[in-house]
Amino acid sequence: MQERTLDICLGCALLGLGALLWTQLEGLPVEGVLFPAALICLLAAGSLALIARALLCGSGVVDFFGETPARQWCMATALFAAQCIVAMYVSFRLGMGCGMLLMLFLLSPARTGRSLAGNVLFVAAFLGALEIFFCRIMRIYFPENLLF
Amino acid sequence: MFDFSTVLSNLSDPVTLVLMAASASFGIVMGAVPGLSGTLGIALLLPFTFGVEPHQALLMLGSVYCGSEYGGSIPSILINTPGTAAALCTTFDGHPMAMKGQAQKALFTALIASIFGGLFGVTALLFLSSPLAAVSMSFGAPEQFWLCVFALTIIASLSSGNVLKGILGALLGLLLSCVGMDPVTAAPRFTFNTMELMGGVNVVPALIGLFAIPQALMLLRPAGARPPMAPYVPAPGVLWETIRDFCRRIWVAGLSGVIGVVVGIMPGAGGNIATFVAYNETRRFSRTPEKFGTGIMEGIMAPEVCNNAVVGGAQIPMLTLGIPGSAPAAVMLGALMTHGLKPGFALFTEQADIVYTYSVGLILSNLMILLLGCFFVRLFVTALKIPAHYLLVSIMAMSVVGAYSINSSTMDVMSMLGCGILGYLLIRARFGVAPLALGLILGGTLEEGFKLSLHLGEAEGNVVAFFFSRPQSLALIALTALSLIYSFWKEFSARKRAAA
Repeated sequence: MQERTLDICLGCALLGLGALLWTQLEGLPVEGVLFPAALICLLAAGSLALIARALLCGSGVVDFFGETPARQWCMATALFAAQCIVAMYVSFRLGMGCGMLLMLFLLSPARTGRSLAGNVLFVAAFLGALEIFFCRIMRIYFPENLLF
Repeated sequence: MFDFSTVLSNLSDPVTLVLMAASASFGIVMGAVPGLSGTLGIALLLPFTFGVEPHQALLMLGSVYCGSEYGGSIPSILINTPGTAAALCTTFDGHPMAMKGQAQKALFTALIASIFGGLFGVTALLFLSSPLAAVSMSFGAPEQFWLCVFALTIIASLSSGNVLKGILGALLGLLLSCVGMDPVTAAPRFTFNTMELMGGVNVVPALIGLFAIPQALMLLRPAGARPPMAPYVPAPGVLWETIRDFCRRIWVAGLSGVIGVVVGIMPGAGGNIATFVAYNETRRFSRTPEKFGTGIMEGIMAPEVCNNAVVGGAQIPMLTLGIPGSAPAAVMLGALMTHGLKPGFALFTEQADIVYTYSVGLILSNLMILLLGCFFVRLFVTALKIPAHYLLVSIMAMSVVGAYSINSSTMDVMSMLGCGILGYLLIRARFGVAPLALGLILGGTLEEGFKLSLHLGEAEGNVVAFFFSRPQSLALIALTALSLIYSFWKEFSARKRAAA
């Protein structure tokens, strides 16, 4: 993607964000509004400057994925998001265990029975160690939701 | 004043020593694995420190910081890939030396240089922080405000390489810090009428997301051969030979140590810049500059002494003024505040035992790294062989558990996830994450200074004069303007050169 296009899009997105946040300041006491309002004004000015600079002298190319394989990136990000949601709202142990296993399975270069067994052992040992440290030593208990 | 016997008693506690040794090992591994870093290590370890005393927590995080700076040299020497950005210069001579069959000597040189640099930096921290903290005594509310502005502009301009984007990132961080109840009026701001956002964005989960998730995602690489590793054949007597040769070149260590501390104190510069300065200056003063790059000891000593001296240097403004000198120091600042410690003069008077236990403890931490490096170097070398997908999965799992463990809050996990994705986007769009993180950390202090100055200015009858006429404020405003002008000029010159 051209850096110029990206900067213009980002500038517009930041202007939009500023406008959205500005609507949130309505009805608040002046004292609570001054500081964030000043920040929003500065953000808007900076965004306009970013757009202007991109229009006047924008050049270069931005590679969103860089050296990262796009498919793997999307898979890992989606799986991580799903892992967080399942772990927090369905079952922590299930979400973490399945999420880690699935991610290892999809990202590992060799998909043999031996590597799968290794992955299962790794996940079990890792989660066991976390359980012992947090639940037994630090007394921080993981969430218990719909399932166990 | 601090009580030295308390410091000694804190440091002789076996639990503290074990925690420090474990953290230093963790830091070395974080530094040794290309793609991971000390900043990530500190962010990941932070939730694990909530169950311990503040001095133990700081020592754990400080040990990770010190360990990662040394650890970064291991892949630089063995596989010609810097473990951390600050270890890039070490590849210039470290790898050629290893390829000549002197990998063990190169690793010992890096180890001894790292410890020398670390001790140099900690000595500076011990002797310079108290006088600088006394300077902060003369700072009132407007100075507190301008100091934060100065810190933000300098970090924004130096860390992202693009001044305007850096400033926008810092502004986003400041806006994120405003989410939740206003500390004075208790009015909800930017909460979109949701209960979950009333408590605001917790700094630690956000830091974990910003620093850990993007780095974990960047570990994904196309399948291919690993870089070849230089032969590592241990032999007896190499350590003593290295120490002897190191002492013969002690001027390199002294020069690089001074550069490391000075650049470390400058906010935002960090080890990445310092090591290049040290390497170039050492080559300039050398009688045989043509040998640099061919695998000589001086070429390893200069960057390694320097990037470890930066650790102490960067913490001087962090502890005394609340301005971090580098990205890991910014996360350390977040940790400091999370543990209820406020940088400044009060830290050196009311909580002097903690801060001196930490400073003196860093000496001990460096000595532990020396022992770990001497006896377990082979173990750390194997860290280079850990498959990337195992690291990625472990970092992500630790991020979830770490974010949740702070307040047992689902919202913290979600904000970590959001900040992680935002961090990746910001890095790819060349904004950098350090300005946003610092904005989030300093937002509360900046707003406090702003509001207090407004009230005091109103009481004195002239708000503008109160903000702009005090001598200390004027000095900070001048520094802010200078740093901004310099950064914009530097960027403009670089663009002009690139176009030509």
